[in-house]
Amino acid sequence: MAFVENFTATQVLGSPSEIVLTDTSTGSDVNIVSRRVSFQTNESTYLVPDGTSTDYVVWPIADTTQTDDVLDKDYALYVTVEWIDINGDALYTKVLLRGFTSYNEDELYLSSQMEAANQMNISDNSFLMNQFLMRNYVDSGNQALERASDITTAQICYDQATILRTTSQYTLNVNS
Amino acid sequence: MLTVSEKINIAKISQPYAAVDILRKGYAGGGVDLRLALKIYTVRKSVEWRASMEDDAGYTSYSAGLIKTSNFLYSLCGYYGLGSFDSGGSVAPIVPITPDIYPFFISSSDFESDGVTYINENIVGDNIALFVNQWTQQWWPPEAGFFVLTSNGFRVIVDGFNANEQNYTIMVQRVYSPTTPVTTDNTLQIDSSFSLLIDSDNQLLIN
Repeated sequence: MAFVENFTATQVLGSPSEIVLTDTSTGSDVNIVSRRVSFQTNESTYLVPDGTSTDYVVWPIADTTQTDDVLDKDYALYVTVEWIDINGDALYTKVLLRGFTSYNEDELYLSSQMEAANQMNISDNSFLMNQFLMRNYVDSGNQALERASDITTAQICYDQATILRTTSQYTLNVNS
Repeated sequence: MLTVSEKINIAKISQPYAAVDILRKGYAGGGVDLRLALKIYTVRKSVEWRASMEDDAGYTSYSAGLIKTSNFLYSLCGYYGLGSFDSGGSVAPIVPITPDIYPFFISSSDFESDGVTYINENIVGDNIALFVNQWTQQWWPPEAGFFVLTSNGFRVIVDGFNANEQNYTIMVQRVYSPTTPVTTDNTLQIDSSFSLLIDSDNQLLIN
């Protein structure tokens, strides 16, 4: 059966810095000997694991899944996988545009847990407004990708949420 | 006991009902927290995300933190999340709160091509009165010869009315009298003084 390239890129619980790739291709092509994966940002830079000198990560053909530790915050990324032959030429290429939002989603879940544990947070305008803003930014970034494939707008939204997250001791402080 | 999934679904329904109820209550939301719908949404999204992540991670049962947070979500829903429970303790699907649609306005453009028929499934079964601004500026009470209720709305029967020829603005208001079932033009009513007979030739006779 002819080879049809495909893959998924997801995140897992407890590892917001990692992207898990799963090859879901069907069929076969005996010329494929390896894969390459790249993670491109809206600024056309590439995210790679520490110690990697290239703009891509090698994904051995024997491994159906691969986990790459490349994130230090939420990103909107073009994830490109190339199925390559013995000469290093790409025989098949698949590109996915995805939002990876585990950092900020973790923080939002934590803030909801804080609300559940301390009902006074319900009345704290600073806490609530910043939580609402953060939720809005993450959702807006997701919608920019889903509705418009707009990586730049998505990244701007994710970065705004990241600012709230990295200053959460002030923005989500119950003692306002 | 409600599952996390059930609490998420209740929150999805509670959010718009809270938003609409607050709007209807006008200034200050009638005492309801003006931000309640937003609170429900924010917490629900976090609970949904966490539940999906725990599902993907293969959890056989949800974490204690997620259970507690989902319970908090359910408590936020309050009155808007009330449902019915059977004696066995399981949860029947909640009966959604139907927003009151009355009174509302329609115009000539809302009528069908015949200029006299208005279709709206939401008013079926209700007794209504109409105020036609460009007619006599009077209320048309039910059963007064101005309009009849149909199986899917109403039809104006007063001579001279044609929505294709005049731009009307009509207020539709619900009335609660008479309490007897309202006659429609396609309903046959027979009371105790009449009888239905089928003769030997299979003809229907009304005596």
